[in-house]
Amino acid sequence: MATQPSPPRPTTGTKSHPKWYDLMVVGIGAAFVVALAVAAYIVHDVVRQTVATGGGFVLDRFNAQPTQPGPGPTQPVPTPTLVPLEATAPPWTGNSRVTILLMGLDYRDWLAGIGAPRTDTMMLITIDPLTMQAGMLSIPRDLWVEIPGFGFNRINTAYPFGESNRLPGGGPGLAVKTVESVIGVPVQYYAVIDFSAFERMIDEIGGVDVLVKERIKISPIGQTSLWLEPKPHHLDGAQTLAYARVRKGAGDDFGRAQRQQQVALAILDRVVGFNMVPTLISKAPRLYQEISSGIRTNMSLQDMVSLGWLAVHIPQSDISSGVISPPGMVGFYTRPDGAQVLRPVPDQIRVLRDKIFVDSNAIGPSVGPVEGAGQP
Amino acid sequence: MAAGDTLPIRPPSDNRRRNLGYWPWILAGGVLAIVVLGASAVTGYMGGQQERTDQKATEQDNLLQEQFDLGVADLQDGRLQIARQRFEYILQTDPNYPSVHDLLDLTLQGLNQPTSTPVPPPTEVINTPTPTLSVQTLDGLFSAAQGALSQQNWDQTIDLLLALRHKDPEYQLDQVNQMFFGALRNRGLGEILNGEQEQGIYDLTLASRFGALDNQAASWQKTAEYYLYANSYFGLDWQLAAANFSGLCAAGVWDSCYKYAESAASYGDLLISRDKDYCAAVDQYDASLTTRDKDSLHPTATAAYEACQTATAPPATATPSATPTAGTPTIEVFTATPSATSAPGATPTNTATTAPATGSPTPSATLGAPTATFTPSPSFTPTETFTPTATFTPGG
Repeated sequence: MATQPSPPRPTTGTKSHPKWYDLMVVGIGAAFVVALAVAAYIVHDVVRQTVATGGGFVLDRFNAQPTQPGPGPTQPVPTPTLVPLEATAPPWTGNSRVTILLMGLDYRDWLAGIGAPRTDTMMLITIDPLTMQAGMLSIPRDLWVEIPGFGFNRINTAYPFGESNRLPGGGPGLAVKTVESVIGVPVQYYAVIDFSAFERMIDEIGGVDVLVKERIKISPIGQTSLWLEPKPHHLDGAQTLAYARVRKGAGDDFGRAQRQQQVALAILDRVVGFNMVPTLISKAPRLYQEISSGIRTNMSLQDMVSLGWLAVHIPQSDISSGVISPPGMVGFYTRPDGAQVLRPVPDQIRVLRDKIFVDSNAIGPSVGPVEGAGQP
Repeated sequence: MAAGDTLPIRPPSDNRRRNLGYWPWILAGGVLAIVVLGASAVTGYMGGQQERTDQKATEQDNLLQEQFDLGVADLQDGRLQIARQRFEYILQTDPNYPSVHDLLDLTLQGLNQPTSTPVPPPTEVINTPTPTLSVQTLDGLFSAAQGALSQQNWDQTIDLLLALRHKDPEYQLDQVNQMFFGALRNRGLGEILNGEQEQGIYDLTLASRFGALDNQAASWQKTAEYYLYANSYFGLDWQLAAANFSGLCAAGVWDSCYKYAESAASYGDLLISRDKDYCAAVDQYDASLTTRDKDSLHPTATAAYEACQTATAPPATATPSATPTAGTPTIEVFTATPSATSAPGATPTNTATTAPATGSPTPSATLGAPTATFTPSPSFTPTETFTPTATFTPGG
């Protein structure tokens, strides 16, 4: 059998490359391996650092500096701390009544640079997810109370005592403990809000509408003073803050507390009325980051969203409010050193406390079913 | 065609291989890159988690150590309330932290408060005493609440009952209400005994929504209200503070003897500075010193005694002793006379007529016990005993 000669083999693919070509291929391969190793290291390191630092979703350390540099010669320095004393509170179960202590710090103390500031505002906000009732209780800063471990003093000194003595929970922790011992209700969360964060939040929702009841002069930070006539006003962040802070006179703490509650309701009204909940929730992580340096709280973002969601579903008619105020609940006293303080009248304060915290409490002989209560 | 005529057929794969060139290598390189980068991301994540855990643990260790050191310093310097806060915080974070239980007991003894209640570790809201029942079901929640109640875990009982009520407000209504009552009543009473008077009153107020309080709880609630009423005058009106704390001190509740001694001494100072009434001031100093001896008060008391003798007895022959022990102080000033405007229940009286106050908290030696030489006549004396173990258990 005759065999045909095999055809010449094609040269493509099997032709021998020049040496430089082989070296280049090997070089590219080596470069690829090196680049891959470097990339792997970078990925490993970035992921590790991101995870180790909490993924960027942790509140920064509170830095309650004044928004605008004040005229004072020195800027106050926060009390140095080794490690944060406050920890995130246990997550809200969604069933139990939640009470939050809102605190605003005294701007003048910051300007004076005298260390940890006193609290200028103290307000308890309570929400019951089962009865869908809420309440607000304002506590005057000059209330003469026993601060656990520090004897008797005005209630607004609890915060600096706790800060400067590095108590567990710091200033907010001692403030919460003091309020609990005066009012009796358990307080799960606290939030200390500085001026810039407050203004930022108000501006984020486009300002608020308030009905000014009496002619009043306000001095917004960074703006010229203005008179508000007794009529509805739309206020921006700075104006709202000024309206909530202003006193008509030296003894107008109680009127001021009422204005603060009015602002709180106006915020709620704005959020609900303009259906801003979806927008705010979608912005929540960014907002949380933006204002984190101005808020010191033990609430997690998730709890904030859950409680905010719950709050906007409570009609204003189901929100009770009160101010610890004269004539029945406090007495005016002047101490030997000339300090004017308020003596709490416990049984009268208890009457107001019960109206806000007990009468609407799910802990009672019976409670009506609530559709979707507590479910964000 | 003969077999020999056929040309050998080249396998098609040879062509493919030839045509693919370096693509398989590129593809393999891509896969390798994905695998390597993915693995590095995973290891980075795990490393970061571990780092975070270690960092938290280190921070917590440092924090607890710092609080421990500060607490010991506070205890040594007599800042008992602050020490208590630090030790309780440590135990809440780490119940097994060495020596803290003993230090907390020591602190509570100094504060005249019971020491038999170690702070429980933070517990999850949900537990399952009966493995067969899920807390996702009504029966499971109810059973878990019963278990928590029997373990005297009042917080957990209340949380579970609220969860149950959230799911079905009508479920076992009577029994749930009884359990609410029991948990609130016992928690409130415990808080009052522990020196958290207003918190205890709040819980007892909630409990009273389910039914009338028993004598023991009601009596302690009144005592706590009276204490807080007296407290509201401390530092503002020494006369009323002393008058109200005198009765509470006789009952030996909480730190009332310390506050009575301080109030009486300060009222004595006020009587001298405002009214120049040295004799009345002597009475107050006597009351203060017999309640709680205080070295720094002796010179003041002696000086007041001398001034009183000079003013009232022309032939002043009496030689004041270093420690004034007036035999018969004026009693009327110590009679509890709360003002009619705001006294809680005017003068709280204990209606129960049971055992003597053997189990009532008694003032510790640190704070000074009222001695036999001075016996204020309190109009309010809680005589019920409160034993933390004798808790109310609802019949259901």
